[in-house]
Amino acid sequence: MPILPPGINETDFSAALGQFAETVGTNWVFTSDEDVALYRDAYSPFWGSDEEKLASAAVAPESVEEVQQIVRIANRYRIPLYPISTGKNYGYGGSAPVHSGSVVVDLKRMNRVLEIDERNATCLVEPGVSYFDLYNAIQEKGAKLWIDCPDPGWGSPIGNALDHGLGYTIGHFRDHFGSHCGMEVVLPNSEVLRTGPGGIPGSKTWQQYQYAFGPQLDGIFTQSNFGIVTKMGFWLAPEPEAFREDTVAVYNHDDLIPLVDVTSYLTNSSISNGLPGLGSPLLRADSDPEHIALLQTSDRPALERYGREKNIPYWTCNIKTYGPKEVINAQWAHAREKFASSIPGATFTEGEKLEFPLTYEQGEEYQQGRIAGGRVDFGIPNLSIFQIISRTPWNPDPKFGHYYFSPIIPKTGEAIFEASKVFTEAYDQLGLSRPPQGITSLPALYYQRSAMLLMALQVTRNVEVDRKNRTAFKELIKIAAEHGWGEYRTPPAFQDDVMNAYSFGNNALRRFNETIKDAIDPNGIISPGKSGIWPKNMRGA
Amino acid sequence: MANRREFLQMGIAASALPVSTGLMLPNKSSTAENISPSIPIYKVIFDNRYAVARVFAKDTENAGGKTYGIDGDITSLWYHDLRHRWKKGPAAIAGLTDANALFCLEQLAWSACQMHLIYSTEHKPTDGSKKLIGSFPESPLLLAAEKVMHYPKREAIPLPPYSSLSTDDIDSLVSWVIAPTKRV
Ligand SMILES: Cc1cc2nc3c(=O)[nH]c(=O)nc-3n(C[C@H](O)[C@H](O)[C@H](O)COP(=O)(O)OP(=O)(O)OC[C@H]3O[C@@H](n4cnc5c(N)ncnc54)[C@H](O)[C@@H]3O)c2cc1C
Repeated sequence: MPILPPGINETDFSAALGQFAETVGTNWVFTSDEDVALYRDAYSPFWGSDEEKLASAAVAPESVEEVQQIVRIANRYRIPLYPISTGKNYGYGGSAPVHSGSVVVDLKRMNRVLEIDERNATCLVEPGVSYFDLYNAIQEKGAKLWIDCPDPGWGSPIGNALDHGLGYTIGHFRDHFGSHCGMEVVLPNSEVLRTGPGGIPGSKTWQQYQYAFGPQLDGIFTQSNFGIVTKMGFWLAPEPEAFREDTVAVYNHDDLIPLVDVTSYLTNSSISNGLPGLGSPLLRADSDPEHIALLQTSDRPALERYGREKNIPYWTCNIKTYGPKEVINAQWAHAREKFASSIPGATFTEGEKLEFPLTYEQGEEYQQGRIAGGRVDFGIPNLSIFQIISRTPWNPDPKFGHYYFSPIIPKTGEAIFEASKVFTEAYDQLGLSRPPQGITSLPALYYQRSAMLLMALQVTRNVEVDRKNRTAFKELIKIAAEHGWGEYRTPPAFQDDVMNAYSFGNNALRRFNETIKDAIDPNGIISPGKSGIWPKNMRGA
Repeated sequence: MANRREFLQMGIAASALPVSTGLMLPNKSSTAENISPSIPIYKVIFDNRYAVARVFAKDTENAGGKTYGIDGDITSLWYHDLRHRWKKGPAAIAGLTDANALFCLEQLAWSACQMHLIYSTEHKPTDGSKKLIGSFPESPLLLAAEKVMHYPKREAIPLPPYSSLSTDDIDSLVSWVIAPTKRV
């Protein structure tokens, strides 16, 4: 039998498991080594070490009532629970608990799409509904609606939104929690709470109005341990008529500053509503020895000159726009004009133009020749991203996965330069390998008003190397905080560290979370330690 | 500077020490006692990009097995085939793919119908040359395919080293079986 929850004796644990089995059926309580092993985080930075965070068992309820009953039993025996929706949080912890010995509450069987409202472009889903499931339900209904999905389509709108996940289509739909509307939560005392208008019995506007009367509570159930979410509403995008993707290229290092400013202006004015994609062809070494040599030097004018001569832009930005054909053509014309007037020497390339609908099969065709990206821009779920985790000199054994260091920085060229300098130096100081041309990562611009760096640290499954990398990761968190940057999300291994970095007012944020935790979950049964929020009896543990 | 996807692709690792590249996939043969004596394999999955896997597929078909070719990405296999089949209940699959494809299939098989990876072996070129050094009229892969298809009735055997089989630029492939265990 796998490990026991800390402080729980075998008799109580067996009694609790027996009662879980009475609740959900014996087939849905997983206790064997092979079954529980599947709740290990395959990308765990602790893999193979004593510190690895492991589940003691898993239980898979099928209904809200079963979830409530599991919570009652857990309170009775003080069993820590760790709810997951589809449990695919790779890079940020997989389905392994924060507190070793927790019983994973696997909500995969609660996989009903409860409502799709085409007129209002909303849906209501259970936690086990994956992006594939929601996409299929929309197709089967023939509704002209788009989902917005992350790169891996096997996750769930609920699990992803609860961890502040992000996608690739239109404007605010990319922010998955931001475009949710209404939640149902089983509280640690087993009561069921509905947020927003859902608080009114028989509410007619649960998925239509994000607020309610009084404090808006939804946010406290994300990245938290205040309840088990059993339903969530989401706003969907009406299928647009067309899409175009164009590229602006600039040739000087400092052109990044106006490039980002104009991009922000276009995004914030809804002139371009797609996810802008920054790139740097010049900083990517190709096979030309002169180019490679220049990248090793700090002679920026020479590198710029080389780029101009060879027509290799220093920076590029892909501008994606969705909407009626004439409108997006006019929007691009305006965007182009803005870039041209702000950045002398900018050049433009017209790229992909598409009209919708696109069937799944057409999406597959579109994907051909692209290793990643592609279909997710149109809300078509897939798993192509897993192909790109390939072997390179920096990544000799890629199959063990990675975890993300992902600080949020200001959305300006100056901030990108600063972060780049800070993290390149940090990588070198910490002995982390990086490409010879330096620079750790260009930010992703998922959010409208901030930028996110996403730097993947590789899991090696060499206990010693992984331990060093964890130490380095913790240093990166501190270095980021010293510069005023905090992570948007992090694996369990680093949640205490990230929460501690949000230390304003003598850690007022963490202490307030702890006050809520103690008040609503006195036995500390829901996800102890999640986001650095520990119940009273485990604080300092 | 790389964007996130490029970054992943480059696989910028944070390895402070040299990394061993030894075989690490768990061989889960310990679960063998929980497995039914003979497992009908629903489909044998192969990675079309590699000659050795194409030969494996041909041999599997000759041995009466049904195959499905992927190009590294398992999305189409999942979307057009497995998700429909597994909605009806567990059905074992076997294959010769890279580790990323196997990782995805193992996850999906557990989520969809509680199936496990019950056998896996990693195959690497032994001499680093990855060169074909002879034709193989009596394909040793036929034997391997047959055995994978009938695992565990007949023990699945590791494939021969690539150095004798393939001109592909392969780092490593995995042969594997995912199947229901008795509890289901
Ligand atoms: C190669 C790669 C690419 C990725 N790309 C993206 C991307 O583009 N965008 C992105 O956002 N992420 C990305 N990820 C990260 C991750 O895979 C996804 O965010 C994924 O959707 C999260 O898994 P899930 O949806 O199954 O959520 P889960 O794993 O089910 O949930 C995530 C966490 O939320 C909490 N939780 C879940 N359900 C509940 C509940 N019902 N009640 C209370 N708490 C709950 C738990 O703490 C859980 O651990 C990527 C990962 C990899 C490896």
